Amino acid sequence: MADRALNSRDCGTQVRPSEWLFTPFRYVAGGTSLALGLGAIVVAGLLGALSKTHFDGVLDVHTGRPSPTIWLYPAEGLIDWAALAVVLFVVGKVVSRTAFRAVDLFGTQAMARWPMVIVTLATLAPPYQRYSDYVGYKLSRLEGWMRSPSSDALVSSDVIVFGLVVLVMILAAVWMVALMYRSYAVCCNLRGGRAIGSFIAGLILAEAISKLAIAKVWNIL
Amino acid sequence: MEGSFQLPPLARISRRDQEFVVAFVKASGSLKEMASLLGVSYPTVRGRLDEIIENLTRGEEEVHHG
Repeated sequence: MADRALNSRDCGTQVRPSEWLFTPFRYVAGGTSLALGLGAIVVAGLLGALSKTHFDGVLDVHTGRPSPTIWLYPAEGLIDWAALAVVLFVVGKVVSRTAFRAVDLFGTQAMARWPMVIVTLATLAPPYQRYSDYVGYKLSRLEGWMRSPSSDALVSSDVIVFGLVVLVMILAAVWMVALMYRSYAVCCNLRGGRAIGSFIAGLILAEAISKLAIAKVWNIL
Repeated sequence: MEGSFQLPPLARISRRDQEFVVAFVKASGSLKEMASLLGVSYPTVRGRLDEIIENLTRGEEEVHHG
């Protein structure tokens, strides 16, 4: 009887693959999501250290800039997560009429960043690295400062792989934002315009906070 | 049975809502236990409970306003 008390889509035994992709928080939240999410952020950061991939803002992914310390890469991801989770927690407390738990919002927000693991795996591809170095070198000349050119010779297919990795980055970023929104909507029990409007406002504020915080950390190092 | 009388609040909500309330009482009012019983997350159960509270409140308001 208890099973019938929820919609069939809510029952853990009838989970469709699309639900695991876009609404996993219907099934996973709390401490489990926090552990999985923090693990994913640290793994994405450490893989990012190998490909010089920075998450220097809640929505940002940039590659090519070397870091003075390996720990800056996971630290950026943790700052992004904390900035958005804290902002959405405060916004949720103002906007939502339900009593929600901080561990659910913080945990599911951490888990929402897991597509960044895919991004860092994709940026490890040598053709992407070579073409990225080449683009960085060209940009540095345009901007009037000289970055040393890559020692690796470009291969004609590098640009195709570069394009594919950029596409993966864009799709993963869209997926991550969709997961962030679902986390907020499920945890704070919000729907419709109220949920979307407050989420967008929170996301913009968190993006600004995370950019400032990460810039401060870079300045300290 | 004949006469004019009001149904109790729990009888005015849907059967699905009533089943949730019964399961919730059997779980000693623990959302955590309900979540584990149903194989869903805590916020999902919390959201379902909020929905039932809303339905109960709406039912009460309808009775008061005739």
